[in-house]
Amino acid sequence: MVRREIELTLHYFLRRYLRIRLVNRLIAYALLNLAAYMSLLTVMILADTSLVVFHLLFFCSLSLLPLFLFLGMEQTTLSRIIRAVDEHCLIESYLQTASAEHRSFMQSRVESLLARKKSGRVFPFRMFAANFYLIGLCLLGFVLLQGVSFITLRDFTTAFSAQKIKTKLLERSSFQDRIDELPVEELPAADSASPEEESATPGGEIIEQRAARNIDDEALEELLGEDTMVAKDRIERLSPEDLRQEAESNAEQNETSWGFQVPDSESDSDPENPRGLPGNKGQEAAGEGSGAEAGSSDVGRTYKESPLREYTTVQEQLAARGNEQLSPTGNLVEGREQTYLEALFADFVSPTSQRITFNPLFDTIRERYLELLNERF
Amino acid sequence: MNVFKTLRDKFPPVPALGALPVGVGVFLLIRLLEGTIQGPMAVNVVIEEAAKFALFVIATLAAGSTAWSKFIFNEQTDPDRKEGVFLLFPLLCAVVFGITENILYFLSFPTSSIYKRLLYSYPIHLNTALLYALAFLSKRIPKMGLYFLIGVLYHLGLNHLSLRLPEAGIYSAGILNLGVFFLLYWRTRIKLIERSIQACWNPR
Repeated sequence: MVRREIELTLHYFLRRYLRIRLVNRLIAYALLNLAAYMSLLTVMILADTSLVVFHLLFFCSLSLLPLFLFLGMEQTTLSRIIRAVDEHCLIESYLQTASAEHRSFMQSRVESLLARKKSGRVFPFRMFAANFYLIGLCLLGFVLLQGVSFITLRDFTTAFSAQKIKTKLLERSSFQDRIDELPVEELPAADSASPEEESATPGGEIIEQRAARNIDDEALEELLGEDTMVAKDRIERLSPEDLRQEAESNAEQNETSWGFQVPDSESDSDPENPRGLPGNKGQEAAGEGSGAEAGSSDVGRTYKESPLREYTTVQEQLAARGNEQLSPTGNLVEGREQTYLEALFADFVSPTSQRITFNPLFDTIRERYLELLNERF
Repeated sequence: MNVFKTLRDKFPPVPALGALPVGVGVFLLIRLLEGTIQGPMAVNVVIEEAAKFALFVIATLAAGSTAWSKFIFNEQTDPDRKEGVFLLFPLLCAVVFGITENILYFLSFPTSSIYKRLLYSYPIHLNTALLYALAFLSKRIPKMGLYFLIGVLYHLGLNHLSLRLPEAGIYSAGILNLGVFFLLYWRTRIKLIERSIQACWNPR
């Protein structure tokens, strides 16, 4: 092996060594950016930071590629690499000496060493220790991001898209605004935490009923928040005894017979006319808004009951109350006053007239036509 | 102590930390100059490339200065490393230059174009800087002049091309740009190693 061949073999070792380092640097760059991306998403979910800040910081993180490649570049000198493959400083001694006599003495040993090293795996691929730490950091960031995403957004899938997270956060805040804008009628002594809570409110509401109303409020929020399954589960957990108790408390207060009442302010019916089934006296009190409540939890006019709950608990209501509240009314006149019923069951009136009209001109033409036919045949 | 020594060896603090203010300062100075001259695109490109080239000239002159070498290196530093470190400084300045430019663009126009610039415009600065690094490693003045000319034409050509290419074309050219960046980086590294091989073959 001549000098040139020794040089080429060293080049081969160098390139292999540099390739491994380059791959490791690129892995470190990718891992760091992944960690930065997940960290930024986590911060976005928690602090609701703007997309501009997110993209700016992520861009800065992506721009660090040259630093991963350039820094540390200057330390890679030949002596370090040769020492990694050299045994007993043989190659280094060969390269360092200026004496041709010494070189010729060492040449055979250097040749055999390089041939042996070249046949084996000189620089096997090994990951940098720092990359293992970065992998751990990424896993930690992933778990943190998913945890925060699930707790805050109740969703795992949107956590990897900044745009989707932002949309979801905006939807959530707008929903919260809508909830805040809902008309809420403050009940007297509703906020008082005094011993008066033990007594009935002016509307006849006692503390247990208020607790039930809070449960219903939560059910409404879940329904509006598209967590219908959660709300349904909650509704299904209500036992017939609960409903029976509600019915009994309603009966005690001589309130409306129906457990779920659309508030007066949001209904289309005339406040003068009783709503619901005919003959329902309790609704008159509910329409006055004087603190008298209607509904299973006696929440009064400010509560809009969920149609889902109403639907799912019809059987329990019937079982709890019997069918006495569903008896038909004897006052037929009352039902006729409802114009929409009349419109519904009235005869259909066609908007266009279908009468057949005769035009004398057409008759003349037709007669003449028949005459011509007779003349011809 | 060993930890700090390792860090100091791996990340020479003066070039790494000094590049940040110098890169930002050079960028702002160039913007001021371009705003004053109000010239066409070609003039702006020449100004930018000349500034980067000047950084390499300054670094090379500083590498030959004993005072600067003592300021940057300690006594035990391998002489083969000096050249790499001095080339590192203008390279990092070019990196900071490109990042600063992109950040200011994004703050002016906060759109997704920042990622387009990351692929297309940012590598232009990096590639020309690596081209100058190769030129200064050769230590031949005609080659330096030639590489400067190539750098200016490359920068100008891609700037003009960006006005004519469609969106997909810009991203494709950007990927090509990144490929050129890796080739130049690889060539620079090999060149640095070869120089140290030469130092070993011809010991002082």
